[in-house]
Amino acid sequence: MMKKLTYLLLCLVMGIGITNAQTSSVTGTVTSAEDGEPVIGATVQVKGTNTGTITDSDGKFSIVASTGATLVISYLGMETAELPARNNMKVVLNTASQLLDAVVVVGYGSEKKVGTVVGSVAVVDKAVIENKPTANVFDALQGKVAGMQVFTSSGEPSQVSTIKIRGVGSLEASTAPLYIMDGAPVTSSAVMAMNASDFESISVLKDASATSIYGARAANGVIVITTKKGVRGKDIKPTITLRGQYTSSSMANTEFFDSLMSTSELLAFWRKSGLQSEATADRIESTYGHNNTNWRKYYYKDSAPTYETSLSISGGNERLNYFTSVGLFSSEGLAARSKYDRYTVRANMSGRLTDWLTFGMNLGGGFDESESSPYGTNSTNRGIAVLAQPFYTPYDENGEEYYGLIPGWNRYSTTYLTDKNPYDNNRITLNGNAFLELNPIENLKIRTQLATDVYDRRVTQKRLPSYAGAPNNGYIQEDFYRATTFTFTNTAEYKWKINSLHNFSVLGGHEWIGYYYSRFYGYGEGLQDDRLTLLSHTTAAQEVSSTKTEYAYLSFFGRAEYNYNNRYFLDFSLRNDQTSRFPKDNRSGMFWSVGAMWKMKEEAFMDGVDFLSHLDIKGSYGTQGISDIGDNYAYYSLLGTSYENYYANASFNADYMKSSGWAISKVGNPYMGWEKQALFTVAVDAGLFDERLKVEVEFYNKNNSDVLVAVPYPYTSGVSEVMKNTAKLNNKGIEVSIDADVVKTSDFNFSPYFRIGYNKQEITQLFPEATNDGQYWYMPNYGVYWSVGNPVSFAYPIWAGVNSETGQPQWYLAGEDPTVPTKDPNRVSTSMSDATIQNTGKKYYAPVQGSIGFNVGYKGLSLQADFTYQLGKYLINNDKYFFENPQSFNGFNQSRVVNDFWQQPGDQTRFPSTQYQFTQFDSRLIEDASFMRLKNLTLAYDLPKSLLNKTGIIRGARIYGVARNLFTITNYTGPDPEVDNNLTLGVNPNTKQFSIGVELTF
Amino acid sequence: MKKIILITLTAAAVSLGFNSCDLDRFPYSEIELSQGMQTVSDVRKLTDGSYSILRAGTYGRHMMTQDIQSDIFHATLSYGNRYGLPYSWDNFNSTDYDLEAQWEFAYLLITNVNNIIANHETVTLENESEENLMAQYLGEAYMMRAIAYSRLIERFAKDYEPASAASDPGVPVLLEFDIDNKPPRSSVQEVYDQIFADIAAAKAQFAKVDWDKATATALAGGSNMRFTPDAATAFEARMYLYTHQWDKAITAAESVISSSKYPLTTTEEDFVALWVDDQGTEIIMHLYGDEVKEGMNTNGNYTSYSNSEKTYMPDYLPEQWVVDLYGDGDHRKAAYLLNADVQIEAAVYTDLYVFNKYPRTTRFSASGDTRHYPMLFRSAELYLIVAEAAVHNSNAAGLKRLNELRVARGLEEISALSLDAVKEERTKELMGEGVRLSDLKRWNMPLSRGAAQKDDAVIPGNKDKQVAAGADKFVWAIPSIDIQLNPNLKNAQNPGW
Repeated sequence: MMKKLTYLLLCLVMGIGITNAQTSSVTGTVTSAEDGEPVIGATVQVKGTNTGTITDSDGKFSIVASTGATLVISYLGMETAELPARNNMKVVLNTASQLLDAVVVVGYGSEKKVGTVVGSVAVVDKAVIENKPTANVFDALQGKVAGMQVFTSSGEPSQVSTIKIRGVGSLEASTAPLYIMDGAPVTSSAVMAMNASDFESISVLKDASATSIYGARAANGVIVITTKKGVRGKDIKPTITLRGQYTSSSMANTEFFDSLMSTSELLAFWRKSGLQSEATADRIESTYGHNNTNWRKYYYKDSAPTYETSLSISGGNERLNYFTSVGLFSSEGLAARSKYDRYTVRANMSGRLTDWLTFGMNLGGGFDESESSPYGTNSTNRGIAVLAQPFYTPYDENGEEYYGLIPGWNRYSTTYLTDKNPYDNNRITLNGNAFLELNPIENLKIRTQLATDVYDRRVTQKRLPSYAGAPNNGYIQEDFYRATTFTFTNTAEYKWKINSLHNFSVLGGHEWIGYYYSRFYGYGEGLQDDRLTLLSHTTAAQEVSSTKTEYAYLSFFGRAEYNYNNRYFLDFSLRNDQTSRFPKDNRSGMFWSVGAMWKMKEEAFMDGVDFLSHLDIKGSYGTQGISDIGDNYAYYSLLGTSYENYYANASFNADYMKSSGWAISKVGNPYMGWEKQALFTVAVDAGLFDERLKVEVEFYNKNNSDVLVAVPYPYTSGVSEVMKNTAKLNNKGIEVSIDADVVKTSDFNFSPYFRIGYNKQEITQLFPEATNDGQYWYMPNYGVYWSVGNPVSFAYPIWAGVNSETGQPQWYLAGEDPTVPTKDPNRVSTSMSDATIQNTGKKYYAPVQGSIGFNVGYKGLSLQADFTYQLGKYLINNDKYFFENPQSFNGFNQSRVVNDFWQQPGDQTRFPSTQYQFTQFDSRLIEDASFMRLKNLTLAYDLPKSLLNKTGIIRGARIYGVARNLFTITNYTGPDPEVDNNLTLGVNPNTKQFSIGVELTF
Repeated sequence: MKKIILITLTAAAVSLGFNSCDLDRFPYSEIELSQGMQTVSDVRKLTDGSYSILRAGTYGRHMMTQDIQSDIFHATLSYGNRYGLPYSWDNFNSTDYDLEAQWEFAYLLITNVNNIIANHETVTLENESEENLMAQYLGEAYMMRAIAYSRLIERFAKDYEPASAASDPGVPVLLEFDIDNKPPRSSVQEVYDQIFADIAAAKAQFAKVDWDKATATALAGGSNMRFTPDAATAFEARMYLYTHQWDKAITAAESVISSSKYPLTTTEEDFVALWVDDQGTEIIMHLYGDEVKEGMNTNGNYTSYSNSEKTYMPDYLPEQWVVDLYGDGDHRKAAYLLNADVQIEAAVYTDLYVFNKYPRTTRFSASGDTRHYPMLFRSAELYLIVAEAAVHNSNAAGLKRLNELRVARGLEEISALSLDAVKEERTKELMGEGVRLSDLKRWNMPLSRGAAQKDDAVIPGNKDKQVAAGADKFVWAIPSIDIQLNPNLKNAQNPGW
């Protein structure tokens, strides 16, 4: 088959080609330097002509060329070879490892090789995000980039991760980085709606030189995602990839659930503590004593499956390249009615219409549906359902689940509840862009691109009229959301060289972003029949409401780069942003950066230093902004048809005598403006022992000023708080990345790696009205202290143990300065008054994160292990308040630790005497949630090419198994330490997964 | 050539992008403040919004807190620590929300009204009818501001004493809409001066209003639910009494009484209807409310009727002396006190009286609740104002009006006017309307809780509380948030808190 094609081609070529001088057929074989295997489909061209061919399934080729002509042999992923034509030539192509993984797109403009980028950019290879068993692509990035913290806060299959880069420099504004896909901004949930197999690479931009060009939205870092595009070239065979994967999920960590008591333990505790009478304990023992239900197994399935399959086709010819894919992802979670299904489709293509005109279009569409339980984290029907007593059982005498009220527990069975109270969510996402690129003269590229990111989401919540808890009174709420973002970008880039030593490049651009959001919902009650549950069937309490919000950005930017002989690099960027989010006078912000790099190894004096293969020293300084403050109209003072009162947090309708009334609903700040950030980075990037060891060390110092704070106002002003730019924060840190190829032969490799990032946060200024002349401020609802000179810290009364003489609980009294934790055993109080609230010294944000892992490979077999860790993380374990508090939750199951309570003078115990509440909102709830997880363990086998060649069709076959969150090491006693929040309660805990999959390439 | 065409096309596309330059975005769900006063109709909406804030600051904790702190009630065993802090006096502190709420809502009202008063001139008035309406709304705005300041000065400052009013600290006075204005406390005299100035301004505006037309167009639904010149005068009379201006108090009160528009009820039935149905000739002004969007605070803690047990489970029971105050023929006994089955914890008593001035009604809810239109001004108070002022300036009208009130309530006349007689009648009439603590302050009397109707039913703590006249906590603390955040109030807290 291959031979026929080759023959045909030869004929064609001979017909077209102009022959001069002596020509003859030149034959040869092309093999790969890495494994010695023949390279199939490598392009062989006679340089300077249109004559070309490709190698067959044995790597052989035959081409007509005049002696002495140069043949150019190339293959994707390998270094191109140029050799004089000789008969029976043996061509060996080297793997272009540098070439393959070192291309990155930074801030508008064309792709660059990583080694020539002055900015701090971490490229994550697609192998990291491929084939992972969750829909959430960001989970796989955890620990992979030094300085980037990734949290997946629950095990719900539709959960999206949250990301923080280089510490938190803001108090009220968003801490999320800017996500860019194919040159246009998107939201993280739009990324989640796509198939991760469509992504070519993810780059994380961390420092000023790389991020300042994104200006006002770049302060939290930038994550650039590029989708696969296909390859352009002569006679590229289309590549078809088919993948199927099956995953089984189970709970990652059951220690918390295993700490709850059994029937005999609970009854014994009641008898010992007297919290329930002997009579009650006896009665329960005789009626229900034979049951010992493990409620975790009832509320959470032991395992849940996920199916995934995707098909992609990519290819191209000299003028056009394309990539299309279809994907299906269907997963279930462990809790009742927890499902997430996603269908994706993508079509990317670009084509070179003429020498000077290229066009392209990248379209990704997705439809996802999810189901979940309507009951929240603090509900005994879901979040804290394991409070259920172990002597009640949800199964009847026949072992069947009760479909209705569970006797004793007096709550409806979870299947019944979720059947009768469905909560469904579906969403259509469209992410697309189209661009046109002009090359009117050499080295000048003008590009215009229009991108859109649209989603349309519908949420339906119902209570069926057959639900016994509210018979014949069902309700339905339908929510419709639509959000559209348009981005229009125009850039012009010009590169030129002087003397082939001085390389210049300048870029100028303009961008406009418009965002439109609307939401509409209808609600009604009084549904009477399960078969008629539309809004039109409601008969009472009908309500309609709607919201609409918009914002826009207009920006102009430019960048200039210079390098001398690829040794000294200098770049400079400038951007002006204006946004509708701030008032006219403060709307415009100017952001700039300057960066420099010295490739020290290129210097003459470094010639003798053989153990170093590259040594780059770089630094940058620049400014960025934060404008994502949540409220698009924050600076306006507004009148509305309702107003709020401060403490009761209630909203009052302003009508009078059935006539519409208006009241001041918010007082804004006409001087509100950008939060500003100045980031200084210096880095050393070294390759040793012929790139066998790569080390990168970066140090950064980030200063945030004009940080927005909701400044509180006295009641006399009629307003409770106003957002003002008054605070300042500082974050400094160090990031280290080490990658090594300890062993690297043609058959075997062992490559460990290590990443660590350490960040130190400090608040350097608050607002003048803060306590003690602007020194500190307490946020009671969050249990947090803001104080100058310290990072954001948890503030709760500090537990001082149980008084062994009296059995009373004790808390330390705060010292003169409540921002300094004081633990004076002579100054304790037995009641949790205001005087005991103080800074616990525990940081709100974890300072250290990273990963450690390795890749081991032998021939076609490879094993990748990734351990990720976060240290110094604290979390308010709100679950403890429910499970270690038998007085407040008398009659419910508790954790067995409550058995350790004070009974007589002299006892040293964990809990006070039973007449006091065992657990209150104090420092005991703030637990160390540092953890290390085996995030990923992948074993893959690539079938050898020699085997595949025999099929003639299959070019690549890979069988793999992946385990995620295989085990977790943590001291945290709650269900899940990974939650990214100050407190956690009743979370649907993270899961561990095992999956197997097959990927075939045709 | 092709290149030039395409470059031009691209440049055109690019310049299209440049035109998307308008970066002003206005919210859709609310109106930008400076755009909010363009027509008279806008002013109407702002005034109505202010009425709803006035309503939210009346009844409920805005009235019960001070009555529970006084000597009218005992806390029952089932009071659940509701209003426990003010009841105890000693534990009442400056962060108690029951205290802060009255300060907060008064200033919320003041802020909104200041916006109307300060910025109304931006409205262009097209014709006479609009001028009419504008004058009415402005008058209402001034009245609401005056009432807000009167509530503040009554709770958070000492009683008005002519000798010291100019130096006694009052409350911060704000007249412009400027949130960064953090003024110090004005003196008691200055605050009352501002109240009188606002009343005068209101009356000046009301003088311009053609009230017949107003009744038809602007006052749909009840002319005694919006401010009228009579309401202004009634309020003025109260203010004159509090500031010891006896002659003016009598003149003002008399002018409303003698208009005969608000005659006292004559039968017990009619008097009870005032409280049960919120209807009657005595009402000079009360505020509208309903069950859906315009909720009212209720004084339900005095009754707490249980539909399932069919008993009353009040948090607070009137003390024995309150019950004894009313003779059997007194119409007020039937309206204010109810002898019914009272259940405290497990025990049911049949011989106790609950305070039933705000009784259960099914007008707003099928299962019944204690919602009522909050009462602002009624004519009985004017009769008492005349009597009390007359004690000081020996005006004959005093005894006359006092006797008219007594007779209207089913009692005998008395022969001579005395302060004690006035005090007794006022206490009887205005019981549970939130004035007891202020009256004790004004009459410089101590607080003395008396015997309980049933000892077993009330909590022992603070049952016999005795507080000397003029004690610190008769005057409430300025909320601690304001002390912390207003540098001009830094050391200005009332003593004893």
